[in-house]
Amino acid sequence: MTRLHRVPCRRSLCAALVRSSIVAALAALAAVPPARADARVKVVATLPNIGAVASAVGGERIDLTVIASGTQDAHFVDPKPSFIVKLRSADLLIVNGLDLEIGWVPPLTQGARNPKILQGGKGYMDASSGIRVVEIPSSLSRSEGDVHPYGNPHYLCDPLNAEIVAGTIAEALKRADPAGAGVYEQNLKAFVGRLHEALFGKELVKLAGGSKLSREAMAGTLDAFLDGTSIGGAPLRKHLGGWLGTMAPFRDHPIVTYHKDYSYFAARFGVRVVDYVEPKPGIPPSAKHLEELIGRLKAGEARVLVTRPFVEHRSTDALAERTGVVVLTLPIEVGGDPQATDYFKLFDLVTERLATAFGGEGPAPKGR
Amino acid sequence: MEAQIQVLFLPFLACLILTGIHVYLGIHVISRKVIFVDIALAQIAALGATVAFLMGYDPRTEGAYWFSLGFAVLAAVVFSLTRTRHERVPQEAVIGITYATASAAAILLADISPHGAEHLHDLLAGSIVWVTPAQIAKTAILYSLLGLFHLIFRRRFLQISLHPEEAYAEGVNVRLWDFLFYLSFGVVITSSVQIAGVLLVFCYLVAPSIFAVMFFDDLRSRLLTGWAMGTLVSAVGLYFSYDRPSGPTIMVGFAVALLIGGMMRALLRSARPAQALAATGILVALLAGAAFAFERYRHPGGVPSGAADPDAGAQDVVAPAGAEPEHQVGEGVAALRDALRDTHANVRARAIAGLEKSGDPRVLHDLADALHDQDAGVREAAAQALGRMRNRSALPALKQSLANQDEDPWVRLRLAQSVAALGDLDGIPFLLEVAAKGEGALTRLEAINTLSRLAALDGPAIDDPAGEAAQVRLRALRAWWAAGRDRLRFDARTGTFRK
Amino acid sequence: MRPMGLARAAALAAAVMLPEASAQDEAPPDRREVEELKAQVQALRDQVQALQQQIEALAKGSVAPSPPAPESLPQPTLAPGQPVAAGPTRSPGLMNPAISGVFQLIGNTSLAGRDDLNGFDLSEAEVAFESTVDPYAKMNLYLSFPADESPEVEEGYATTLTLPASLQLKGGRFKSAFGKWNTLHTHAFPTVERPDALAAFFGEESLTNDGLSLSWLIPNPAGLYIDTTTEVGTAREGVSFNSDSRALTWTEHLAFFLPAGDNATVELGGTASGGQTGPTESLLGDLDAAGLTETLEPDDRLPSNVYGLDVTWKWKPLQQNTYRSFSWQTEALLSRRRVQALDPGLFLTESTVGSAGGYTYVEGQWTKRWKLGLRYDLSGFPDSEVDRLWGASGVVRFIPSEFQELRFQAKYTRFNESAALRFGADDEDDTRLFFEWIPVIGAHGAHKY
Repeated sequence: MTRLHRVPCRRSLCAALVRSSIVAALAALAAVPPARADARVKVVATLPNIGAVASAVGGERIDLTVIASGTQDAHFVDPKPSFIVKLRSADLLIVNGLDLEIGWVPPLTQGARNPKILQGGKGYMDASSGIRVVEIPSSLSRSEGDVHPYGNPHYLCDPLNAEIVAGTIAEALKRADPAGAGVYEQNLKAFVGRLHEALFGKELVKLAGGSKLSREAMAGTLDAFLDGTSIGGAPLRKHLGGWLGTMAPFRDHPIVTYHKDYSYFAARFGVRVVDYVEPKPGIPPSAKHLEELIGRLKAGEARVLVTRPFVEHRSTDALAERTGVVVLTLPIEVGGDPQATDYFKLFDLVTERLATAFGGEGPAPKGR
Repeated sequence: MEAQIQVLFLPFLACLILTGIHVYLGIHVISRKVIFVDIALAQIAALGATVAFLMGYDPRTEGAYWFSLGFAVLAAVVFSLTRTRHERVPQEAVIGITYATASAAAILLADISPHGAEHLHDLLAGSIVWVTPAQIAKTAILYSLLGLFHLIFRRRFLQISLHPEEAYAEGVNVRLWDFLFYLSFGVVITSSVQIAGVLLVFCYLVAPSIFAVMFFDDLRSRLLTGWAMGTLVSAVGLYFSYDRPSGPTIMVGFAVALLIGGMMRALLRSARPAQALAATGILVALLAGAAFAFERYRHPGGVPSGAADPDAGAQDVVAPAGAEPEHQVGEGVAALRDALRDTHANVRARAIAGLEKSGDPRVLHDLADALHDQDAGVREAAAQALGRMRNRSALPALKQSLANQDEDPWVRLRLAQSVAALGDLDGIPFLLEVAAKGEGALTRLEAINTLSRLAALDGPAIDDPAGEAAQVRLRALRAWWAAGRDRLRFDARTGTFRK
Repeated sequence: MRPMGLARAAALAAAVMLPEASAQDEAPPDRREVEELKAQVQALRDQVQALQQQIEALAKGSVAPSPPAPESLPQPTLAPGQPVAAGPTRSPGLMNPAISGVFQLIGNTSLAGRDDLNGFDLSEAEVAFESTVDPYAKMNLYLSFPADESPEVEEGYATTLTLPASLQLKGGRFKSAFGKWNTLHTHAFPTVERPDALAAFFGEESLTNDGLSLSWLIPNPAGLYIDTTTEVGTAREGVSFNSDSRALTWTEHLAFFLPAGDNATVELGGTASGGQTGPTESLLGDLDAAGLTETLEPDDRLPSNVYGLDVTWKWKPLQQNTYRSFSWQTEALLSRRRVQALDPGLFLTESTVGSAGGYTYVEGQWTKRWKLGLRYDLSGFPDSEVDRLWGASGVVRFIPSEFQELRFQAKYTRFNESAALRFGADDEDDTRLFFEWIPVIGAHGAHKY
């Protein structure tokens, strides 16, 4: 019996070719760039805090999309394909950097078919550039939990870092849209001015100048400056207002946080983080660790516990029940609380609630 | 898209005109098996233009044109003379040598002029995008006349190209007709080179004709095929060349078209057409994909848009955070000097404090440099340190910075304070300005108190910059300055200015 | 004009044009550039001289003005955050690819007494490399070291990053984009083993292609993620496309992602693939039994097509996505192929065989570290219209951290008579228990959604 003559195989191959040429033809059509009706710069920010700063600097000239939601854990955002579509047409992608988004941004950028926003492209901006990073581990091992190899990435918990980030964003926007350079510069000045007033209080800014206060604070010499300079017969410190003013009476008060994400806030506002509910970053609390923590809390080492909206309640509820510690669920990103609608309201809310919680406890308990 | 079409319409017309005559001439040239003559003549015309350029004629003027034409005519003579009946030295060799000589000569000559390289580049790549309507009109008329000439004498021309033996047998003056042929050739090439550049001209001569010759044997079909192919490739090439060099883009288009033609030809001759068609289809798709990828490879990391991209190629937007921890500023002037170049402003400011403490006069230069630091805090610290070091050699640097009107009010204050502290009267007017109009009440306060000290005025230190006492003191200071500015002298012992 | 002459002419022409073209790229330094360089050097000399003077003057204590910085030299100011020293200072292995290693320890036992599959197995270890090649492409390489076979490349492909028109080209060896489960590596399965339908239709190795895959993100006014992937290659698998003739297999996959509110997404996908297949096992067996292996040559190029449909619904509440989630995935496969059989008259007859199969899998998570899944399988076999099986499994997954997982699965499978023969089983049903432990080390890249 001879081999039967085959025709269908060629048919299927031809079918494949027809298919691929249709796809290729459609691709060629899609290659014709569509007329750009919207001349705004398409900016995509990974996290809401960055989006808030970008929105303040970009104003009406940008079309901003934020990927993560304020109530989400920034480490574990799902890289949904709808974000890929947004990234495909983006002009500028702003990431938090320091490997905070390493678990979900690469699939998005690598699938976005947009070479501008790949790392090293002219539309990729790492907001951590220029930030003074703390807690950089000297040795790396997963036995220490889910450590961040490049340091603590939650730098926008310190409002003065928002000043640096705003400057970097302004530079990136000026590069992407040179025609709007004047507008961005103006918006940047307005944002930084408002930030200084919110942080130091209007009065102090009028007396000493926002940039002077900001750089003294960044240098760690703000206390010396405020105490060492006098005006109107009283030290300058008397005129301190804003967020620093709200938190000033609670210097050195100890708190416990769930995750190690408040280091920058603590450094700026003077609170002291004594322990974490997670025994190691990313490791849920074990019974043993909870017992230790309960012991410390009962001994009065801290009276306030700060947790996040996206974290489980069982451990913190148990701690509250057993020790009477005040559990505050504070947002870390804009949008993490219904009242935290922008960067300024976020810190208003956080400082107020902390001050209220501390205010109820009297003078600072002695630390270890 | 419309803007694109408008801009490219004129070049498209130019391409059409070029296609028209070049296809015809190209078919002749291929029949004569002297492909080289096109590019040799084009290069010689270019050599003529180069000579003209050296003699001061701009490449687009009449003078340059006649120079080119002259050279081309000369070459035409040479070529027609060297075509012998019994070819001992193949004509191709002669033409090749001529081409090489012309190229070398052009390079040497271009080297003499400082802009020679650009000129050469222009000649080679051409600038078909900048063709003017006048040029198109002129060329169209000229080529029509030439076309007419060839139409009238087509039988003769075809004979000497396709059947030279016949011509020799009939006793035709082959040399003369050859010369006429090369002459018209030279004219066409010279005009074309002016518009389109050497390489593109060569392409138009050779590519459509090769394409046509692959498929057909008779002249009419070849002409029609060549014209069709030339027009199509010109259109496609121009479309893709919106913001790239047009000439090379069209040339790539021709190359691709030839490749496709070759494949089609192989197909038509193959025994298993369906299979071959399939293979060709895949190949075409892959080529298209490769072409896309190639375009991307030429512009990594950025989409070439219509607007000029001033930062093309630069790795602009920012590297990851310099996550160096702030480190201790060491002891010793050398370590402090290194710390002055640290990335963190805090470290630099602390280095300045350390350098000031060292008291070493050699550090004055470093501190003077720090007056130009990008960070206002560092500038302020440098200004203060220089004032406190009590070394007058710092004055020029301080005064220069003062004159530059720093944007930060505190830096201006410190500079003025330091200049005055070092005994220079120039600091006083600046201090008065800060006292009166400084941003921030604190700067005004400090300025008033500093001035009071320097002027040795009686009275307590002012507390409230907005108060009555401050106004009174300011008036007093102004009066003091107005009265004594010519006669004041610095008393280093007390650190005050006295008459 | 004969072809050879044409080729010669073209070659000569190329030889002529190449030097011209390359001359443009490697233009020797312009005289103008050299002049400029000389001017710069002179300016530098002047400044050095002035500086030396100033130092002397300072040493003597007299005043000398600092020299103005010449315009051509860059100002030595630093932007905040820019490192002064060039080059990364963090580690010497900075250019190394991200390397990770995984293995699976599987233990299983069959309650029906089919002991051949019992016991523990380090079934597969996998080493993965991932890195960018250059600004245009990145590469993934997965080497798999099966327990008792020689190591092989499970996947190795490069993906372009910079194609225009929302295209992405992948080339190398990769798991075909057929449905949703086929692309998963064994250690990334939600359950211990793959659904029976996939095993029946594509063999134990998934449908893997050596070839090219072009994916296009279709732009649309609704801004939805619609992706079409076309693949062409030589299939490496044992059931549906196992022709020895190395014919090309093509696959076409269309996927729609539809957001269903903030917390959920729905994905719809359709796949079609076609290729060629060779003689079935049963035919070879029959030929062998009849002693006709030498005389009758069964056709090695029978057309074979497999079609698939997949629907996936994923729910992950934004605020608690590490603690709660729910997903439901269903796939249906349909195979149509030409099959040859040996008829009683010892002739090879052909027929078209169609068969179908599929699975549905539901998974829920109620706390950070535990997930529960249920799967129902139904499968025919591509080369037979009568064999059938169905199965049901339950799986419990314990995930102590992102880098480690334990799975416990119980699976009940029921064969019909002919399928039981195929598997050489005595009974028509089987219950198996599985245990699996999967640790991961190294920088394992982020998983797709």
